[in-house]
Amino acid sequence: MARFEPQTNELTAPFWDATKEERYLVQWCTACNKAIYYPREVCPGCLLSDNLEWRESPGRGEVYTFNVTHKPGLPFMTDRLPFVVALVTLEEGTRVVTNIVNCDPSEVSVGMPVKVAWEDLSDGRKIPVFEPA
Amino acid sequence: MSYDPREARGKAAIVGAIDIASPTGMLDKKGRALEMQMIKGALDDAGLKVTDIDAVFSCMGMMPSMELAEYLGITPRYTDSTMTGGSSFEVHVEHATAALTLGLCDVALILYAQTPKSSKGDMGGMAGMMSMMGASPMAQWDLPYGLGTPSASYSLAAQRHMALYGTTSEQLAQIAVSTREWAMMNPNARFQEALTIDEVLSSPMVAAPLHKLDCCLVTDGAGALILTRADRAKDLRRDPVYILGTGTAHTHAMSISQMPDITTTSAAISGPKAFSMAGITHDDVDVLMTYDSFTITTLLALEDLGFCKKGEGGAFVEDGKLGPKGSFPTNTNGGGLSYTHPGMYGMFVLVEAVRQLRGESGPRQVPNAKLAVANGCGGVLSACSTVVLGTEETL
Repeated sequence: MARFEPQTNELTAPFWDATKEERYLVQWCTACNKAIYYPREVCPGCLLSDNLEWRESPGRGEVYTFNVTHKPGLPFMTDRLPFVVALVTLEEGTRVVTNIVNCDPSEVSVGMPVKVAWEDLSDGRKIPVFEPA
Repeated sequence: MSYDPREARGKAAIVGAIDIASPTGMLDKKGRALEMQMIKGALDDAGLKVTDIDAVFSCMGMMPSMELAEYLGITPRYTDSTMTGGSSFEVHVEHATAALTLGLCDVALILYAQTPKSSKGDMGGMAGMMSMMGASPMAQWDLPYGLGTPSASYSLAAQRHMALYGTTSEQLAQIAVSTREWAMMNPNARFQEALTIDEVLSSPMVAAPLHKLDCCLVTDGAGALILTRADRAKDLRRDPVYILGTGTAHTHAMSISQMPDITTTSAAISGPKAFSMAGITHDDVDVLMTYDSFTITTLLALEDLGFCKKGEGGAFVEDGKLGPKGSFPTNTNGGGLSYTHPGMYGMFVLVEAVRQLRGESGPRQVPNAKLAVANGCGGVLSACSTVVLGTEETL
């Protein structure tokens, strides 16, 4: 089975729309000057929504940690075992869930620099993944 | 006016305790029938009747404590449906201790029963799971990347611990081996055969660096506890096991990306709180019962509770000191790794701690055990709750 495809909601539609053009957006609170992940209805720092905005990110960061999934507990991505699940710390400071692709799992390490890459979803959106930078 | 949790030290006690598990991993009863078996067992243990219960603690259901009390036909005056996953029962002990100390209730029931092994499919399968996840952030930000099960999240913690501190798969495997040594002395344990480090390392990789035998079981299991105030406890059937200290903290829910430091659990907060309330040091602890959903869960708890420094857990466990021949008896029932793990294992660390302090653990009894620490860890390294328990001598 392939990927589980994320549902979009009102809050996150701008993020997913931008993926169609391979633009990687990060939510920011301009008042707190802080990036937010996962995207929220209000900034958890000031509890206000007024100062939230989407900023285009260069999509660069480093691997915080990762696993090599051989036996997924859920029946998704079983067509590409083993795959790498990672937490990547973006230059913006947030830590995001992703996959590391375009390299052998044995080449992935904690601290490895990575950059965003894109994989197609079924409806024209793309999902951001990361590859060695 | 100042408030000090130390005022509640020793004010409440566990006076009834029972759990059930089977070498087959399956139990005959399930649902309410299993729950009632546990309640009767715990009440009989204490020498109390169902009408004595005036506080109900449960985390299973839509309105857990209400549904349970309705089924029992009782009218509790204190109610608590706190759900923190596997550590719910330690949290319930903390809340019950506070409520009993304040006189909000007199007799508290804490209950757990789950039968995932014999009830496969009853949860509604994938469809049920997806509807449960619903609009949670996980469905949008975790699941699309294949991050959706405990093993995937815990392996992320293990990997970074290895990268930062040089922890090895052999050291993690030693935790499974030491825990199995205890299970070999527990006739109700799911796995009672000897285990070697090589067998752990050669078991199939689930999510590297965690192998199948780094992961807990999936079995049926259930348990119940009865607590009352210390003044009432003395008149009951069994020697009371006193609650000396409690502490709870949580860092995130089910999205491990939100954990501030993936190698430090909230036991680093709950542990010191509980130890401070109890007025104990690490040297006072005779038995450690700590949640072991995975080998890494035990290792992080040893560090976060302060039995060794952060990063030194691997070296701490590698001589086998957690096992029956070791100097630091840990998870003496055989743990979630080898005894039982129905999904929320925290009940069983409490029940075994009670057994050890009553001197009832048979061949796996730690001689002269007076003080035990029970540490629950719920969610995905999310919610830790620590309970310090002691015999009358420790009051």
